[in-house]
Amino acid sequence: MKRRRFIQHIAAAAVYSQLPLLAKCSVPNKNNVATYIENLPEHSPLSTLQAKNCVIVQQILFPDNEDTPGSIALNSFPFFISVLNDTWRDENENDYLIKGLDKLNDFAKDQYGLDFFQQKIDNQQEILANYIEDKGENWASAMLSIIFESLFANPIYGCNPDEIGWKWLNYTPGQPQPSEQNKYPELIKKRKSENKIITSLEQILQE
Amino acid sequence: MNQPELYDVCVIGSGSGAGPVIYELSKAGYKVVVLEKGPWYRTEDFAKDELAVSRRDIYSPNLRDERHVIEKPLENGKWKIRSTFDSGISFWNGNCVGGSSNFMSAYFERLKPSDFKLLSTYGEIEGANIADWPISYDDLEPYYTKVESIVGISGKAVPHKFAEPRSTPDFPFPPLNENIFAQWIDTAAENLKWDIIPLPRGIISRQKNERNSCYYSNYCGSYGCSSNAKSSSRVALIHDALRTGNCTVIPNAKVYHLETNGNKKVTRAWYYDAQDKKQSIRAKLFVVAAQAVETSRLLLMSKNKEFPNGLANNSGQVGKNLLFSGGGLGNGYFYYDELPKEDAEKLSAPGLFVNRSLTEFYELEDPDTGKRIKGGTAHFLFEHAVGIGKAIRQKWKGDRLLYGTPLQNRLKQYFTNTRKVRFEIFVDWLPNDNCHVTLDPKVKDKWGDPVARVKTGYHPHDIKVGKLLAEKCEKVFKTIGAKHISSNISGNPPANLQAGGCRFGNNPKTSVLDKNCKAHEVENLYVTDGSFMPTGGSITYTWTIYANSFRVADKIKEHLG
Ligand SMILES: Cc1cc2nc3c(=O)[nH]c(=O)nc-3n(C[C@H](O)[C@H](O)[C@H](O)COP(=O)(O)OP(=O)(O)OC[C@H]3O[C@@H](n4cnc5c(N)ncnc54)[C@H](O)[C@@H]3O)c2cc1C
Ligand code: SF4
Repeated sequence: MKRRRFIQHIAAAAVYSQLPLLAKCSVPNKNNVATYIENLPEHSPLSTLQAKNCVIVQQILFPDNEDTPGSIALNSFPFFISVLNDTWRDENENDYLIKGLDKLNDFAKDQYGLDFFQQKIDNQQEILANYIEDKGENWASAMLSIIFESLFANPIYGCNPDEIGWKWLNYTPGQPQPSEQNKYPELIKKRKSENKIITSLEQILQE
Repeated sequence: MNQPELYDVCVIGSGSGAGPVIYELSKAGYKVVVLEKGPWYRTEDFAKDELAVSRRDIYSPNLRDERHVIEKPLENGKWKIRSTFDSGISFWNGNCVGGSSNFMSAYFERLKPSDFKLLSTYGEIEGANIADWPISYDDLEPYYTKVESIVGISGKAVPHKFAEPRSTPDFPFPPLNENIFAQWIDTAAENLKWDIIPLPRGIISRQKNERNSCYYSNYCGSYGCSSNAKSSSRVALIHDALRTGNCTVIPNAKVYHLETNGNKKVTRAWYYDAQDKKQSIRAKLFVVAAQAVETSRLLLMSKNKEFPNGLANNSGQVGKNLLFSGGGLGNGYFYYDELPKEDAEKLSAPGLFVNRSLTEFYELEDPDTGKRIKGGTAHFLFEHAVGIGKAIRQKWKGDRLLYGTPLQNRLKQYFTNTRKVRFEIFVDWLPNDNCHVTLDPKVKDKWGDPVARVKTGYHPHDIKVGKLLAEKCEKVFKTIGAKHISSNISGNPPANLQAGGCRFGNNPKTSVLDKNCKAHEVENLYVTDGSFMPTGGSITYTWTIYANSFRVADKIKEHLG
């Protein structure tokens, strides 16, 4: 049952990644946020508020600009949703990421009386910097690690479209890259498949 | 398909320690059944998928379900006890047919003759349980040679101070192609007048039956091989064993208990199948090769009236004197814009290997006492090619987190203008009373069985020797102009390089196994992973594990008649 839900979520994430990319921009703007939020899946692990804040956080941590693919070009937000829906991952780690978004919002409200995403862009930058300085450094580091995943993972996972991240860094990935048959989490299913007794090589090779 | 009521041999695990036994006994006509806790991943299942492999650790169990409890020494003399679920640092190394041999980097070295008699060569060290092996290098040499051709090792034999005697002039597979960096290391060796030799690899450099040669995928360690060039137990041995028609492999079979008959004989292996149902297999003889920690755990879990402290453990020795590879690592950097264009291009070429080992200091002088002591080896290599891993290391500048444009600029510079070079140091992990496996009194796995608790105490002597080696390696890097050279020697146990826990020896009071790796206390139980090693030498273990398993296979054939 859990597994089925997970697959649904992956499918939803894949739909996201087909959305036309927004024009490259160096600072987050509310339209970007709106486009993403409108498409939040039914079972989104993030509330609308968390999602709005998350998109902005990602953009400040890893901004898009002319010759650098940032979190928008990399589809980091839809990828982040797929990460949060991944039941193989430790749920505590996901809670930590989500709680960090909430704490940041509380921090923003304490300082400026508004939700983080409603602040002026300059204030968002400053609030996030202060939050990182104050208590959010490990959390921001974890958020960055997931952005890095969206920078280097195969486009099959709905991120790094057209290998834009690899091209930016002249990066040569190893070959072969994952296919629909052996991508994550297909191989995990093999762990708990039916009982098998292997008595010949053909049996394995012809699978 | 109907299974035989009674197999000749039941092997638990299917990695490097199991493969040679499975291969040899199947070929000799015995009916062999292999119980492997992980699934069967085929070559086609492997991809260079950093997200799946390195970030989600898909070849190992989920730590929610199966974890270890690790005890680490703190500087204040106390111990930090944490489960791997809590630390997020797994102690598994790949659970699937072929075990961690699918994912090894396959830097292969033989032990030196002196490693078989460390105690009598260098004497006692206080606080260390050093013991001579009950066999000599000469006993193992034919099997080291067998591994070269059957499992597949490439390399070039060159004379040097500590060269191990060989029964053949050279390796059956020529050395793999090398990056220009290997030449620079050779130049440093000449200048320093030190032995730095070509490092053999458990990777084939030309085709062998259906196994293709290495295609320099650039993603070797931690990743499955898509050409079958890497000499995993699965492709090098188990495929052929299946071809005999005598071998049966049951994947997703987690053995949790070995039953005895009250007469010092194992009769059944009990396992959980893919649906977590309890099943059992009967056999005349049992071989455990579940990797050192899990082998000790299985024996300790197999308690009964006959063996109240665990199977083969009336001596109390099971789990004791666990070993890891001691040592540490070091780094240096080259920046392409500081090199001649041609050198920069050659240095940046992905995929090609360095494959050099510093052997000059396998023995060295103790600066404190002036006495000759056991030293170690060091391998020279590149930073792993994984992108996410590299990027993660770039996000910290000192203890400050970088983000935004400064981080992006740093990444750009790192990925397009830098080659990080490394050395890895291997020294003996001296066996000691604070390094062992027990059953955790509280923490259980998903089946409700106690998990292994691994105490990872090290001897300060290991750190001292590691540091001496690090100084030498740093000198090599200086000689060739690497920048920002640093090293880090520690007592951190590398989970992937384990041995010991069921040491072999002639005295049943101080060892678990006899010199043929049969349990002293049990008539039909053998252990063929690295558990048998009383000392580990200053090298990576796997060639020795393969070789010893071939040796024990011959003893088992004699046993079965
Ligand atoms: C990333 C990496 C790099 C490495 N690089 C090198 C290197 O360069 N040089 C080198 O010499 N070595 C290297 N190694 C180490 C090498 O892989 C091991 O030394 C070797 O494979 C150990 O053999 P083994 O049989 O003890 O364990 P494994 O090969 O791990 O096999 C043990 C098997 O037992 C199974 N098992 C465990 N418990 C049970 C149970 N209860 N029931 C049934 N099955 C069970 C496991 O699933 C596994 O398949 C590396 C390892 C890794 C992971
Ligand atoms: S192709 Fe070569 S480098 Fe790649 S995994 Fe296989 S042996 Fe290693």
